[in-house]
Amino acid sequence: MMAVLVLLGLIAGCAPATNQMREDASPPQTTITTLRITGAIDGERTFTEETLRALGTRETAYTDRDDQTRTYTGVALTTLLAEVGATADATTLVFTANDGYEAQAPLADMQACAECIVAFQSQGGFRAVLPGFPSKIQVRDLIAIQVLSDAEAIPQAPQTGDAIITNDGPVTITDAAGRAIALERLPRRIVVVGHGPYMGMHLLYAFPEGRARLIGWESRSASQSNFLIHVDPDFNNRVIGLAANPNPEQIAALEPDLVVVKGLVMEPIGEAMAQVNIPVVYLGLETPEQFFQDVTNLGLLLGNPTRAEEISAFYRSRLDLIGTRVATVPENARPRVLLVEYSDRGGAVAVRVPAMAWMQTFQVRTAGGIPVWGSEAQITDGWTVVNFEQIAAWNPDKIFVVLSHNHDAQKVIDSLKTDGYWNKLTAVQNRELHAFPMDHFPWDTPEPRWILGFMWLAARTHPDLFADVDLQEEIYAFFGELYGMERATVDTAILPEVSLDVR
Amino acid sequence: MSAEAQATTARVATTMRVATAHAVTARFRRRLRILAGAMLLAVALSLLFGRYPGPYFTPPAVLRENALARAVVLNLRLPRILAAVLLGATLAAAGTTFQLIFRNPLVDAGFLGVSQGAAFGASLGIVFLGGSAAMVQGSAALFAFVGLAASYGMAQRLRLGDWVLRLVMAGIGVSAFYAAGTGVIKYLADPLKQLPDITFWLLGGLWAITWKDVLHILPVVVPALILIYLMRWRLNLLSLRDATAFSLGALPGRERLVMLIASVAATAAVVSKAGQIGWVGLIVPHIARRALSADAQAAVPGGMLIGGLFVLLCDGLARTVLSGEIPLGILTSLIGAVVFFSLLLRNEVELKK
Repeated sequence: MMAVLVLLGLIAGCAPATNQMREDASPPQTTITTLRITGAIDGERTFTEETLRALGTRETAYTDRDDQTRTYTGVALTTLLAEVGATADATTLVFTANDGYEAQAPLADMQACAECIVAFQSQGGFRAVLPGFPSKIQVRDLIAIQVLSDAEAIPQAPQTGDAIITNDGPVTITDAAGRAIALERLPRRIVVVGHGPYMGMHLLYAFPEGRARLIGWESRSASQSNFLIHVDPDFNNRVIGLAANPNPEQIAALEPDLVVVKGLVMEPIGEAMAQVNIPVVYLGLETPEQFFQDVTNLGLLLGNPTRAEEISAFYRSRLDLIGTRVATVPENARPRVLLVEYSDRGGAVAVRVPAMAWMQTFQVRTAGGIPVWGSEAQITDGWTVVNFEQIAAWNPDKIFVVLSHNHDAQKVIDSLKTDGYWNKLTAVQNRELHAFPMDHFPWDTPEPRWILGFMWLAARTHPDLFADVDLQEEIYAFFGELYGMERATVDTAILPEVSLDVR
Repeated sequence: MSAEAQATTARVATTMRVATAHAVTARFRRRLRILAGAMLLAVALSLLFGRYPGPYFTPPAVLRENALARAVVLNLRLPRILAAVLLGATLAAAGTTFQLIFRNPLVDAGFLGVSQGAAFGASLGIVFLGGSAAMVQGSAALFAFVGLAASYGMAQRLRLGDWVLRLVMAGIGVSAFYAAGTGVIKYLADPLKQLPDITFWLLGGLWAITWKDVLHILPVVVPALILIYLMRWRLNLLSLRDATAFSLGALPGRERLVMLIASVAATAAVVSKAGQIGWVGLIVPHIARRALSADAQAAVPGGMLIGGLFVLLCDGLARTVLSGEIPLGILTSLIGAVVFFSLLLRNEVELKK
């Protein structure tokens, strides 16, 4: 009878009731006093209370559904996971109770939770005590923890997402296109489409929930996921790439409950998705104000406003540092700066200046430089080609060259320095011709890396003011803070791509 | 031969012609009915093909259980299918009209600066007017008409050849002017954000069509198509030289203008929603004339049906084959070019009227 009730409870998804029943029912099954850990780990392990205690214990206070707070003693889940050595592709934990009840939680969330423990029950055996997570994963009479790599996990992403949503809506936000979006329930299946999809995806990945809930993207070019595979090795298997320009039905085929588009105006896709009741959220990303709004919005939509505040605080601390120092430099003492994008398509070399409203122009100005191309860029909303005569007329103090990934930065800079025209420029003669750095993605674009580009630009525009800023440390801080990357990972995956000082 | 004998011969000849005409009429009526049947069948089948919930075929049973599938079929596929049919019918009808009026088998509604005008208007909307859907479509329709008006106005001022030649010349001039304008806008566009929009618009597609879009174009397209359909027999007269047409009771100048405005208005309306869709207006009238008759009585309705079917087929492929949209203009051009070559390579092709 009880088994039937447990089963019904599970089917109805009301596991807390199941827990309640289990507590009331007596006597329980024979208590099992070992904990087995299996799956994507160094090797299957079985622990007893004794061997667990040997790992070191801690206390955690937990308030249950009836508002009763108890203090539990146990071993920190992070310690336990470190002990068994979860492999790189592990993504999900499955807690199994003595009665066969199972609950899932994303591994990343568990690893980020210092207070989460496997506690010792007074009657013997173990239980999961995971403060801040739903009651249905506070599994009692815990007998096994399975570590799943995503390939083995349930293919439907939302189920892994479900487990961690504590405040499940409703939520209302105003997006970058100025539209109010009201969701009854937080999204589980997010698809990113439109221009520059990786810009939105990289921001989404700064949230653990975003990582778990992104299920599809518009894959305009295969090489564009080069970065994310370092954050999420399973990215290419787990996240479905749609061919370019998917129509609403093609997007709906992924059954998303939220579509994210980069843009400031309501594009036709938004209206078309509304026909099938799939909400669309626009991200701006082009200026810091838009970026902060986007971060706040994602925090609300992913049910993790705390993370949004952490991200914003990271950016604000950098902006403030540079803002206060640059403010001490009077306008007439600021260098006149030219930032150009270099292209040599079809053998013809062209340099282009960015639009006034763009991130690049903002970076130059806020880093304490005076953009010399002011009036020229107003006529267009894109990159404008400028010829050498114009550059000579501007005669900038410093020149920053934005390159694409298929250029060899040093070669391009050397070719410009030896060019019969360019080598007459004051900036070139003063060794103030710099290649704008990048890693897998450029640092000048409206993508989370803009803050790195901004720090670098400030350090190069005012080297004396920012002599104490260690840009390498900034790189570790950025990838650590945003994507949880260890220094060693940054060393192998990011730093080899970065050249901070090509001039 | 006596006058009476002559009259008798003439009567006999007339009777024979009428009889032949009746036989021809009966034959093309039957073919039109087959085409209409094929159209209904194609529409019904198209509703069951797409990408949701799985690629290609959607079993009808799914519609009963899955609310999202119902919404996809009713709110996305159905308006899109109707738009495809209207688009094809309009481009073909306008193409037939233009080819007859200009007595030139190689023109379509894109002629007279209409297509280039729409392209210019759309690019302008994308780059300088905020890029919202309404703005792009409105601007495209507006400049399509400006193209017609400019061509017409220029033609009246030219002192060269007859009216048709003057219109052709003026149309070429206006198109070149617009093409230059579009080039400038493409040059100024943001290559990351706007240029793909312009390119995609120029290649055309129906992926963003909703019921609202269909309702927007209906009030223009349906009256225009009905007008062209009702006046189809006049097209035979309007394709004659002015003096001959006038002697047969037509007011060639005014009637041509009415037909042109109807064609351009309908074309501007569909093109403003769908972007540039190449070849339909040029190719389909030829296919219709081959399949039915060079007589506008048959060629106009036949062209509308074949055009609708052709675009419906191409659009079905565009939205179903890949997990992303294939621009419709690429498919119509590709398939249109193949059909065109196969027509040209068969020597019997009639390029006249």
